[in-house]
Amino acid sequence: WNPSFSPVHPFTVLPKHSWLPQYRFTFSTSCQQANTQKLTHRICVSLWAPTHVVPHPCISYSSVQSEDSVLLFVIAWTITEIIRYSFYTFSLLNHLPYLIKWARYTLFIVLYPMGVSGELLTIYAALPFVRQAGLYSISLPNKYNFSFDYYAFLILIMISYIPIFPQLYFHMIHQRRKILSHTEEHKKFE
Amino acid sequence: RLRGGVWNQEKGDKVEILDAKTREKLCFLDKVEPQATIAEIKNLFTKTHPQWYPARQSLRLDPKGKSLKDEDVLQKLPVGTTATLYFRDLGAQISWVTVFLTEYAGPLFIYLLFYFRVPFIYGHKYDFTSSRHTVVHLACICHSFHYIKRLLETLFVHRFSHGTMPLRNIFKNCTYYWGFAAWMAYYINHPLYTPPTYGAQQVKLALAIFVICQLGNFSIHMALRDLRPAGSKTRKIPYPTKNPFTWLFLLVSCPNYTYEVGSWIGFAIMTQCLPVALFSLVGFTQMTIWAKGKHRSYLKEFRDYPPLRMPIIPFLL
Repeated sequence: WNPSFSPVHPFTVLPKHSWLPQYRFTFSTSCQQANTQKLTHRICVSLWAPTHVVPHPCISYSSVQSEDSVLLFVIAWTITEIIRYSFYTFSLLNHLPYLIKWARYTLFIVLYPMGVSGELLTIYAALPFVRQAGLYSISLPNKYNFSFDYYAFLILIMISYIPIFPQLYFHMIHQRRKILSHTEEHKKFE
Repeated sequence: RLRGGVWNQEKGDKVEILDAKTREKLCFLDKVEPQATIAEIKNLFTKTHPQWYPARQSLRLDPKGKSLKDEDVLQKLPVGTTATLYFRDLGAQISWVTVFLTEYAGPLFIYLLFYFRVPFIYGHKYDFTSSRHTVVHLACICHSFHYIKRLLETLFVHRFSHGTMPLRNIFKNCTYYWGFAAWMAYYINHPLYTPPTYGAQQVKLALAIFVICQLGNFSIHMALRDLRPAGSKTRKIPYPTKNPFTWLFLLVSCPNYTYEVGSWIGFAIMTQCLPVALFSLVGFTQMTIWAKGKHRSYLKEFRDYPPLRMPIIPFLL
C-alpha cells in the first residue's frame, strides 16, 4: 500500500503569509503547523519506508503497526489539507462558502488529535528499528568529534509534542470562537 | 510672569501621563520644573506607581512613537502648557552587568566540569582522569582565558549605554551560552576525542589565530572605552589609534566582532570539533546582525562617516 503523498502534501511547505488580507494568521503558529507537518511527514515516511522495504522477520509485526498509524495520520492530514487549501482558494476568489469556513474551524477538533496520535504512534513503532539499525546516527570516535543519536532525537521530538500540540490546538479553538461568532453576528444584520 | 506685555504661562508646568494602550490617565504632575529631564519625571511617576521603577518605564509623546531619552529636557519637547506623555511598561528589567556576568561565568565553570571529567558525564572508569592529548589542555586554557577576559572586561572596561534589558533575556542568553559551552566541552574532553588531522602544525597555526584575535578584540574594547568618558553616553566615530590591532577600523565598523569570529574560528580549527564550528557560525550570524545595525546607526548619525568601511568583514559584509 503506497499512499500518494504528492497531490496535497507539497502544499504543506507553502508559508502562509498575510497575503490573505482579512485573515491574520499568527505567522509563528502557521510556521509551527507547516513545519511540524513537513518534519513529521519526513520522519514518518523515512521511518515507514524502510520498515516496508526491508522485510525483517522480527519487525514485520511492527511494520503492520506502523502502517495503521501511518494510515491514521495520512487520512487526518489529507482531509485537513484539502479543506484548508479550499478555504484559502475560495477566500482569494472572495467567494467563501460558509460550509468550508465551518469545516475548517470545526473538523480540526477531531482531525488534529487523530493526526498527532498517528504521528506519535508511528514514531514510537519505528523506535526499535532505529535503535537496531543505528539509523541517521553518528558515534564517536570520528574526525570531526561529533555525535548524533537519532533514537534520542526522536524521543525528544515526541516529548516536544507535549508543549507544542496544546498551543496549536487551543490557538485553533480560540480562532474558531472568534471567526465563527463573527460570522454569526454578520448573519444577524443581513 | 509678564513677558512682552502678555501674561505668559511657563511651558511644561503640568505633566499628565496616560497609558499608551488604554489611554487611561495614570498620573498628573503639577508644578513640574520646565528644566526637568525625562529621568526626573520618571522618578516622580515611580512615587505614585512604585511597581514601575524608572528602568521599566517608556515615556513617549505619541502612543506608537519612539521612547524619549532620559536626558531630554521637558521644555525642549514640542508640548503645550500641559505635557501629555504616554507610558508603556517595558516589563521587569535586569542590569546589563548582571546578565553579562551570569552568562559568561556559566561557560567558564561548565567547561571545567567536563575538563576534569566530573562523575556522571562520561563512563565511571573515566572519572577525574586526564586527557593524554596536549591540544585538549591547550583548549581548556584558551576557553577559560576567553571567558575570564570577558568577565574582566564587563567589570572594568565596557561602558554601557543602557543600564538594563528585559528580564527574559537572561534566560535566553544563558541557555545559549551555557548550552553551547556544555555541548562543545563534552566532545573536546571526551575520552574518545580525536586530535586534529594535521597534528601540531594545525594546532600551532590555530593557536596563533586565536591569540592574535583575542589581543585584537581587547584592543578594540579599550579603544571604544577611550572614546567615551566615564558616566557619559556620548557616541563618536571610532578611528584607528597607534595600536596596530585598531587599524582594522579603517575597513570595518565593528572590528571587535571581526576579531571575535576570528577567535572562534581559530578555536574550531585547533580542536577540529564540529560543535565549535557550529557555535562560531551561530555567533557570526548574530554578530553580523548587530554589526549591520551599528553600521546603519553610525551612517545615520554621522554625515562624515568613512565610506570604505563595511560592518563586519572587510570589503564583503
